[in-house]
Amino acid sequence: MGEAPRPKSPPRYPDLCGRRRLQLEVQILNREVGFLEQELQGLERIQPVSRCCKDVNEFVGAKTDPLIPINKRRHRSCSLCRWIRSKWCTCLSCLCCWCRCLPKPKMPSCFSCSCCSCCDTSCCRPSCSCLNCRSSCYKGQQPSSCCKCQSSCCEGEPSCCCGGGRSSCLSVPAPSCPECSCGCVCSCPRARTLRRTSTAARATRRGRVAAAAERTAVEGRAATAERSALEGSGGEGGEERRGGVGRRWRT
Amino acid sequence: MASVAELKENHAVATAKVNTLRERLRQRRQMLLDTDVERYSKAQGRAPVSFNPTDLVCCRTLQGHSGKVYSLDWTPEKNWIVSASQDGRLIVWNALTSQKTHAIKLHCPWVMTCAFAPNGQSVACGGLDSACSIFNLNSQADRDGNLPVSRMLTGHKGYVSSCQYVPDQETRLITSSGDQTCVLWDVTTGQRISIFGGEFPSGHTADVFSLSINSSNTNMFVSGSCDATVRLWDIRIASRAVRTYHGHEGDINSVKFFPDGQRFGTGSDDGTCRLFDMRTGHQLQVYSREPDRNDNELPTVTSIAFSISGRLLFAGYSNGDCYVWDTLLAEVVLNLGTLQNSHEGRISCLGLSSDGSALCTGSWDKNLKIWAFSGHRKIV
Repeated sequence: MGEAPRPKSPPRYPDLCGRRRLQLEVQILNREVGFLEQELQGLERIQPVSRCCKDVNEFVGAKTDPLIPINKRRHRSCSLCRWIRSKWCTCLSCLCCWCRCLPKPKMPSCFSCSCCSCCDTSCCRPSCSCLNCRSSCYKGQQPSSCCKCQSSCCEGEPSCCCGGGRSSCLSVPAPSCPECSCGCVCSCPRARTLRRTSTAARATRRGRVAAAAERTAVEGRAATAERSALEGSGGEGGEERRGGVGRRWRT
Repeated sequence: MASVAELKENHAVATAKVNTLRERLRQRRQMLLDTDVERYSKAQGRAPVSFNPTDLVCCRTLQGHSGKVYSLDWTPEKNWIVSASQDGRLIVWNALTSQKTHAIKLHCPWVMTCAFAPNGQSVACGGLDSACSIFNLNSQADRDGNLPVSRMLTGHKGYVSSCQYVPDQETRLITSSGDQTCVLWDVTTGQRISIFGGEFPSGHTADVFSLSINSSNTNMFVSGSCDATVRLWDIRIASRAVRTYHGHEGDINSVKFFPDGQRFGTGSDDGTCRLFDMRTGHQLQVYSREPDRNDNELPTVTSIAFSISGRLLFAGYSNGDCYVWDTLLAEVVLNLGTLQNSHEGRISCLGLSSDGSALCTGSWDKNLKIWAFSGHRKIV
């Protein structure tokens, strides 16, 4: 005979309101006590708030911010650069490379210099491009590999070579030196390409390049100033320049 | 086993001890509070940041949502933005051209948050469906033109309030939730790797509303909660929070790491923003606005973001203001809410582009706006 079915006792409900809950809470509180004691011990070794404030100040002062107006001291060497540019140079970016007025001569301005008839980044060293001819010739040295300049061509012709070094290489008189008879021969492929373009196109391009180079140099200078200077000094006699929305965010 | 009476007695003793220790901790911190950022910076002779009303301008308005914008995120590299709206859509924008590249219709329209993957190839979103959905932007759209969900991360027992990819790790994502926890997910498998809080004693005791991952040390993140605390977590140790930060007197709606990765900012329902030191736990500064003359109730802080240098703190408020705080001098230098072409509703979310050159704001007026510097630069 099988066993008669018997009613089963109801399943046990979890004791949520009684002893178990209390036990759990006590456990949690004891753990919390442990954490708090640890934290209290840790506080003995912790530096005061002023130390953190110092760190915040140092960090904030060290980084430039594209969203903040800046009041910065103008870089002296850049003033010098501007003066030299106004006196001498028509090819600003080359000059900037040359005179090293920008702290980092490997600036984009060097690469964007399309009047540089150089083949590689070595153009950013003082001895290259149109100015190379002059400086090299003056020193009686052979020019760098990218330009071949007859040593006689530039001697005694500073005004010609300064303004028209490239033009000389392209066998076109420089605008600043209409009587230029300098016979530079430039073997740079880029220069050869340039040579094929018409004089008028060249003149137009030169204008654009000079403008672009100037823009690049100004931006580079601003960036450099931002990098180098810390908080605004707010001196007197400042020059105000319209910044405009960053190029990327212009409509 | 101890009797109920004994347990009650133990409970009372433990509670008293906890309270005593908390009070001692507070006193000890007070002793270390010898200054704050504002006083220190003024003592150092810091010059204030001065903005003209035209220095920060709205240079783009991204129109396309038909509901309130709740959340936005920038890609780390491309200038793309993803926004989540009450209209149940995610829109991916090219911020430079203002064009929409993707409009993703969500299965659950109650979205609260969205995030871009570090590589910009996928986006994640979460909301009242208690799940986090991943969309691969390169996948084929279906017949209706909708992008299919590439992965659903399910497991939360409450709404997903915030999500963020771990920087430089497309396969790791952290979510915060109304179930009082944060979860680290493996996006590839859809599995939960770690749960932070919940059953553990040192977790949040109320809904977690926001989180921020430290980009300097991606193992650390902070979460802000309706229990008025922020907790610091180490993703390698889920069992307990590394530290708890007290100070706020209301729900914490937004947390963001300071650019140095050593501090973080918070925005709360108590109307204040605060700056905390991650390591020491010190509250370094309170950024609180004056109470409105007409209204005694302070507007709540909805979202915050730091500029790339950390000098500016952008804070959106529930009354439509968007203050630009000078973090060092604790002064408001600009209110984007009162500028020309500003939003017509509450600013609900903020985000800075990765290079720091632009700020994007999302609003209840259904639009997003991009702000960039357009002022004079005085070179002396």
